[in-house]
Amino acid sequence: MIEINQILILGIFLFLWGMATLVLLKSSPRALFGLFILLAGAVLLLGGVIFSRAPVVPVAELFFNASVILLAGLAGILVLSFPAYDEEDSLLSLFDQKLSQTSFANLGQLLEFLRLVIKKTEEAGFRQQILLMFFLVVLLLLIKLT
Amino acid sequence: MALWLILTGSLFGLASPEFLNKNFAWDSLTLFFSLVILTSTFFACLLGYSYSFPSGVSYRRFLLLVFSISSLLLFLAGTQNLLYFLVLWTLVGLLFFLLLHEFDARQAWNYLVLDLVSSLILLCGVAFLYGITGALNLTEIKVNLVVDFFTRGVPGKILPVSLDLISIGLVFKLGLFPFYFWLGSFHKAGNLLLYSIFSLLIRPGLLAFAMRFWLKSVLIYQEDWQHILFIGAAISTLWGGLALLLWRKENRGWLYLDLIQIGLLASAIAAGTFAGLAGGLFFLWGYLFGFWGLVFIFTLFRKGDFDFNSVACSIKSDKLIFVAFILLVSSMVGLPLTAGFWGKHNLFKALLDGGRGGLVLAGLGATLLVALYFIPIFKISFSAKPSSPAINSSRTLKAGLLVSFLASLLVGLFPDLILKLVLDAAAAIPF
Repeated sequence: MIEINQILILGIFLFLWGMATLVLLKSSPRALFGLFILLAGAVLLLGGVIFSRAPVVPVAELFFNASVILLAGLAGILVLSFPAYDEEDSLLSLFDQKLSQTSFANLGQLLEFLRLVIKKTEEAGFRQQILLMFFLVVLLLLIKLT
Repeated sequence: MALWLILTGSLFGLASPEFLNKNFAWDSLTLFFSLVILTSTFFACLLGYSYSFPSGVSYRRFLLLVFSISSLLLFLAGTQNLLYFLVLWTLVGLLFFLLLHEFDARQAWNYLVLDLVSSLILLCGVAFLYGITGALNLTEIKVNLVVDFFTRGVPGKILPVSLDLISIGLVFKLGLFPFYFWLGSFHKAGNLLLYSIFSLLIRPGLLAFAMRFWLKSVLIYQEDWQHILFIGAAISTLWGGLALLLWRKENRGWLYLDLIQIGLLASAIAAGTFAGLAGGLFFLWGYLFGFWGLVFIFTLFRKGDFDFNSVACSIKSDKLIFVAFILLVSSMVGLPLTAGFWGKHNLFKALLDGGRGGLVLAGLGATLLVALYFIPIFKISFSAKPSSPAINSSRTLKAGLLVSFLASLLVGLFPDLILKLVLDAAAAIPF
């Protein structure tokens, strides 16, 4: 059974991150990102609360595990949307097309997008690396403690 | 030079001061890693001799920094105290920062900050572990954990947290998946000298301490830290192989090949057995000579990266280099009668005997992916017509290549040459 305070800490962490993205706003796509991150943080909090309060049922576990995977997926977005990360911010150019219109025509485009994300992460500065490190530390500790 | 001679002399039985005996292990494992460190130092000096340093950086200053780093690493390889490790590693990190700073200030600060942050995470874990056991010496930690288990029972969640934090700190510094991304900055700089010093000189020293910590001190609670190594080892090998193929055109060969090698070494530690450790130590020799040889080859062709595609087109211009290239690449793939083959054979056999089939599958998968990556390169190199590219005519580079080529060839043909050394080193850990 997970501890509710662990989920609260994680949820608050995400909220603060989303708020920082909104506060240090550089463009409207970042605003959408910030809102998306806040929403995702709320989803995680809700998932954690439901799992901790409900009887141990497969659906609740599945919901929580899906939340953890969602959190992992957020990591890449959060690293790239960090307010100070504006060095060849290719991701923004993709989302400048409006989120609702963003799509991948084929698998090749999706792979190309992933390639770009991984390349940017590998060449990112120490701020992004530290953020990624802390996120992964929290994730690994959560896996172990829960 | 005198200091270096004294340090190397201490490897062969000079009496060590009494206060060091408890916190430094002068055993076969220390001797093994000392030989690895000294070999890498020798190769680094050869490489640096022909290197075009930036203005204001002299070869003497480079030697001073490299020798200082290697002498600290010689102590690090034998230390069995967490606090001593942190102090020594911080000093190594600062010296490497100074070396990096001579070439690229931004990259140097990048490295320093990341290293200090990872050391901070490690320090948190050490503090928790000290709080639980009351000891910093690896042997005392193990004894206290065993005594506490029988007197007070299974410790609470703080022990897994401490072991996880220490393991994450070590894994970050080693550059295992998912903490390898920061190594991409070395690739971006396109500097083989600095990357080889970090990967082939500094990292083995860290590996020596990591082996002692995981296998000597906290093996009794392996379920608390092994999952980190399992994940890191398996995904490092598979991800490295996959990335090599998917992003062939990016020419990031050394980043992903290096990731595969460190993943395989981590597999050896994750196995937690004598045979696994012996297999890993044998593999380390093949990795060391193979990579140094390739570094010399690419430096001879004035490349800042493992640009296999472009080198393959002009490799036939020099027969020695061509033969060495074929052998070293074959060793990396793991083709029979090469050092890499015996290294992987011993490692996979030990993992299989230890019931770690998943790691064997990951290693075999990575080997297949590396083979698929090199097949077109072999085709190009064999079919290309001899040309006259601009090769660095440095004798020191060729000497380094010759030494690494011969060492790799000898270990491949006569693996028993280093078998006793490897087995004695593995026996230093009381499983």
